Amino acid sequence: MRVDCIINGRGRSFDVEPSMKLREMLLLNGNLAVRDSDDAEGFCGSDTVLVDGTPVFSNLVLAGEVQGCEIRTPDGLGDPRHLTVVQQAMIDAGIVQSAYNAPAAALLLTWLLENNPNPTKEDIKDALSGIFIRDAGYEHYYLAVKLAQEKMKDGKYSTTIAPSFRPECEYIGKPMSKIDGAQLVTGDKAFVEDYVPSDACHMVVLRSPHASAYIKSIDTSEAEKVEGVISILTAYNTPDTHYMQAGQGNPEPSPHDRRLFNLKVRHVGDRVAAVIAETLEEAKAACKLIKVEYEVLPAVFTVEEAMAPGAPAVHDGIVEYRAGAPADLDEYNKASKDPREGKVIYQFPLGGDIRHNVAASNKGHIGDVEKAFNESDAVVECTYQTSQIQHTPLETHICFAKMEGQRLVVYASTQVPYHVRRIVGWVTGLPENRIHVIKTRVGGGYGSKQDILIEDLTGYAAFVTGKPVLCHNTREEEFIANSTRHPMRVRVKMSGNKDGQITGIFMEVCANTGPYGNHCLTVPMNSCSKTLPLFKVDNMAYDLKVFYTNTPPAGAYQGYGTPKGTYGLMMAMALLAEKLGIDYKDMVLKNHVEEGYMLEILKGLGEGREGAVVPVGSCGLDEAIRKGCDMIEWGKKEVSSDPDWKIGKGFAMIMQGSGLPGLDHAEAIAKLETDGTIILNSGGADLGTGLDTISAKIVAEVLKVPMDRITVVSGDTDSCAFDTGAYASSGTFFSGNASLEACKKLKDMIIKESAYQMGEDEGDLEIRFPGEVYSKKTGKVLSYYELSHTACSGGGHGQMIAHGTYITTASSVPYGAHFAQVAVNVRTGEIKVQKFYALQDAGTPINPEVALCQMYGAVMKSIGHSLYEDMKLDENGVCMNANMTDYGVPMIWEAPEDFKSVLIDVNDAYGPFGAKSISEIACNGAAPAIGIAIHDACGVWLTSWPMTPEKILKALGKI
Amino acid sequence: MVENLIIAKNIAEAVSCKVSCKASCKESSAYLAGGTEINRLNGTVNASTLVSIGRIAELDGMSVVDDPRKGSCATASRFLRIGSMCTFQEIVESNDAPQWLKDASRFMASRTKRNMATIGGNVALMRDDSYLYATLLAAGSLLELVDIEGNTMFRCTRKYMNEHESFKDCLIAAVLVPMNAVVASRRYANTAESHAVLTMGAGIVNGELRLAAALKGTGVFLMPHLSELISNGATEDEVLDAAKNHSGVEVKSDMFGGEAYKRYLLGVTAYDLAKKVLSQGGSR
Repeated sequence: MRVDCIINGRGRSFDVEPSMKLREMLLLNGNLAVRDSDDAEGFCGSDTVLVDGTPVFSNLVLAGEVQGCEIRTPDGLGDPRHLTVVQQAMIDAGIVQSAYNAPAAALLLTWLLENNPNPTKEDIKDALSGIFIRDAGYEHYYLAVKLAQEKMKDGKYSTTIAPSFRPECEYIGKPMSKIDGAQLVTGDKAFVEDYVPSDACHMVVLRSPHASAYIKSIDTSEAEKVEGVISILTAYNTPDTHYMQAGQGNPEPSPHDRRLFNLKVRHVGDRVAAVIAETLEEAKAACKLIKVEYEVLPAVFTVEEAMAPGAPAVHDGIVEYRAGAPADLDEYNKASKDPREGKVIYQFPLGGDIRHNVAASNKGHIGDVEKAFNESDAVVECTYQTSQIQHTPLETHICFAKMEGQRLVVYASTQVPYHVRRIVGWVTGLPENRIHVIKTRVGGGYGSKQDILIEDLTGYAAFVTGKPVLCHNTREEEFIANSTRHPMRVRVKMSGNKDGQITGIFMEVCANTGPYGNHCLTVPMNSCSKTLPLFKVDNMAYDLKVFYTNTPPAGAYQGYGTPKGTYGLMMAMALLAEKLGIDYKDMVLKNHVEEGYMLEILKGLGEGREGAVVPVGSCGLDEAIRKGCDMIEWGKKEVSSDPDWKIGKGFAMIMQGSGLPGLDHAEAIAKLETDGTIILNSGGADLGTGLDTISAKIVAEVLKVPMDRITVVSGDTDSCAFDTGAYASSGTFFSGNASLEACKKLKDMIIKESAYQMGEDEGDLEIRFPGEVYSKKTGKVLSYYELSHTACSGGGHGQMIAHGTYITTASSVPYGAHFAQVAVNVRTGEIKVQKFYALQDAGTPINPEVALCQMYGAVMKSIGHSLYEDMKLDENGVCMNANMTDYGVPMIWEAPEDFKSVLIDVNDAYGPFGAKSISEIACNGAAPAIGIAIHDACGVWLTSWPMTPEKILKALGKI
Repeated sequence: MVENLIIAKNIAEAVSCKVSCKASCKESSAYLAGGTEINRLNGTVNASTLVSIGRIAELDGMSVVDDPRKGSCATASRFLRIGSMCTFQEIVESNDAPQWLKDASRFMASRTKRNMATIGGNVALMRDDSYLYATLLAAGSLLELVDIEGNTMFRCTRKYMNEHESFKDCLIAAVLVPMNAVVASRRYANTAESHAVLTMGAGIVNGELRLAAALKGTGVFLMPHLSELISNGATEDEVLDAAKNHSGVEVKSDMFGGEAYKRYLLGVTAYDLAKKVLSQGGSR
């Protein structure tokens, strides 16, 4: 049918099929910023457009219905070189981070201000109520509106965007526009989907309907007849190469326990086959024609089922070790009967025993906890259970791969481009020099894009077919076939004396890694290694076991294992304080670490290796606790005017790391171009958190050049040098330090070359804004342009290129305290988070406005984990709520009414310009803070996630 | 899979299209209102022909009308006639719509979705997590329907609910809500945007307390048992006990909540809403 309409002010005509959605029509028109995050669920709002001035979801409108309508799309607002006031305000407010929904949000805020120039907070909430924001939270959206109003009215901002730090610096610690902000907020080409040519083939994966089964046969004959089918991949025609999908340092502390396709499927959603076809429809149609015969096996879904005597083994194949094989391995392997089980290959011992579903285990201690328990005034013991959580990045996993001559080029939305290259190399057999990974902008990662979940198969498919291949996960696949947060059972036993001194802590952690062991040891280790070092306690022990099960896979998730350990430990401490009759705040203040305290507990808490005992470094923990207690008026009982609502307060101290000392590695290359501008090639992978802006600020600060004369190229494996990637909170600390090293070296080269060209002594020269060398002795000035031009024109020593490498054994730990005030309705069980205050010592926040938004975003995620989010499996292991609406992510109506992020000013000794990590730690505090507040409100301890109204009512004895 | 999209210009044309589809027997057809269910992932309506009713002027707008059924089983003398294509947001913004209906319309948390979803579409679907049906039912609202022969008829929401299947080919032209009704409603969901586990409405119809619920896993239903109990002065414990043990309503445990939780919510919400509407001037 014919559709004539106006799109962004221009008349357009289309011939459309009756089933065509408006979004599809807009894509044909080139409106690429109208994106899709939920497969037309009408939830996330990425597909928002205005039809005749009204915001609608374009995926829920048939194209045929817009005949004669006027349509506005986000890309009709402004382009990267001509930003609108609203778009600029959004960047300045710090909310344009991973930004997959930023264009849609810009459209909505523009619409709001056009129709209501003076909106209230409720008006803004209402306008944004159809937009899901996972990265930056919603708080600074109010700020963005305020900034835009000010700019429209007065031509300038009068509101302070964020606090500034380090007055001696020009760029570091100052709110400034994120350098990729304009590209992202306008919906310009940025994400993998924007780089896919129209002739790309599509890959669709056929997934297992069973939680555990052997594949007896696969018949692809009918599927192969479907027009357009290029190839069908199964376990029968792909390499017998064992690897794993975690993007971790090599050799990984995770077993190699999977192949591209296995002959045993281990979860509902596991890969069975992949169809590569010319169109998506053809690939889907062919998928339906593949006939698979399964031998269904019994399955286990919980750690309790997995550890039960006689439980079916999720992996029962041959075990190998690359190093450190036990002496009885041959005997152990005699139990393996069926070659379809495949292998489990440990790079080094992780304490695994696959015959009993143990993927990894570890234990350690300092002091004597049993003695402490026996000699203390009080002992508490409680078990805490966390649930399976999905990251729900707005951009689902996507990869596009193609051959260019003899080289494989992979466009990836990844946190770990170099690990992608290595693992794609393993499965294709290609050496790294023949693989080029291009990390595009990442539309939300949160750890899920630290795992190589589709790049392995997409890369292989492009390699074997020679065709350009696109793989783009559906939202359902994100739930059933991607990594998730490990469900954990944390048992805490804690003792203390009447003076408030904690005398002993024991943590038993049982983690569910699902069917494969990516991150299986390190995530649970974090629940101990990023929590126990908060305590100044002489007797501490931990014992952790990680079990294989047949649930959807687990993996890395922002916070790693720490949110779970923190939940258990802080809740137990509050329970102990109650038992001893001591104020919880007093107990926290008495037992938290401070600078210089020697952390003996770290010895056993490495990433599968022996850890280093180090003293506590810079530490703003005490200030965060005291300041937060003042803000929330700790000790003051709030009373609601409605007697059904009871109000309570709680808080938790938190910590994380800044990368992995002794393991992580970062590189950067700084080049002075021939016109005096600078290009920094950073191995670091900016996943929207502002790492590229951090690198640019470091260049500007060290080399004293304006930001617009700096370009950062990052995450491109051809042009940049190796970096382990953006995970474990390493970006600012490791990649930032590598950039700093490169800049310092380039500065030395500039001085040296200038001395040569100017005929001066190096000691008499200094660099200064806006990019020039000045002689203190003669007063002569040489611009970077003149310097570089001469150097590259036969009159000097060639282009100045400096290479920075950063490795360290130093540890820069961020600390903080998160506070919650909740109201609990004791008749209905409903829970409202009224106030949330996040106070964090991030060292020097290089991008303070971006840092604040990351704190808001991470807290919102953890409020979601604490109260709403939970993947629910039926008795067959099928995820019943594999969609956004039923899964339950928090949106703007769930945000605390009074929500503050506060940066505690601490200057770290090792971080670049004193910076530490910021974002990951902010996932750790909400669960215990809310749990303790719920107890304070209504007297019940909720010991499992999510803390729901139903659980409240049960605990209160109402049901 | 949608094979035909027909943009109807008026009610007669919409009905005629529906008749044609029915006659052909090959095509399944449905009226397309706001699109938030039919075009949604995992939407519950499947039809090869969609008859878009979005451009039919007669289905828009609100006006005050007398009881069109002339007191046959009148629940009020005057009604607000709300065209079935009125969106939730238009109701929220309306100067004419009663506050209780605005409140219930706001249960749909997403403004963008409220801009699209229509009152007629929500009534036609009558889902077990319906935003509006329980409240409209409790208020004694009427539906203006056009059958497949083009006849206009008025049916109360109770009848429409009880005989839903027999009305499936009817076009909902308007929803008539009683003016000056005393109505209150509540909704419980995991998050504001999640599907509801329970939405309940309470109203006074012909001087009688009427309680209605949309309960996940069960559906939409009236609760005469609890209404009568409360009207007779039962205590809260007696109401909770009745909800807990009432066998007239089949309540299933599912991912939205256990049976005990759902029954408790039914009881406590019925008691609270009844108290509220009775205190606002309704009689027992």
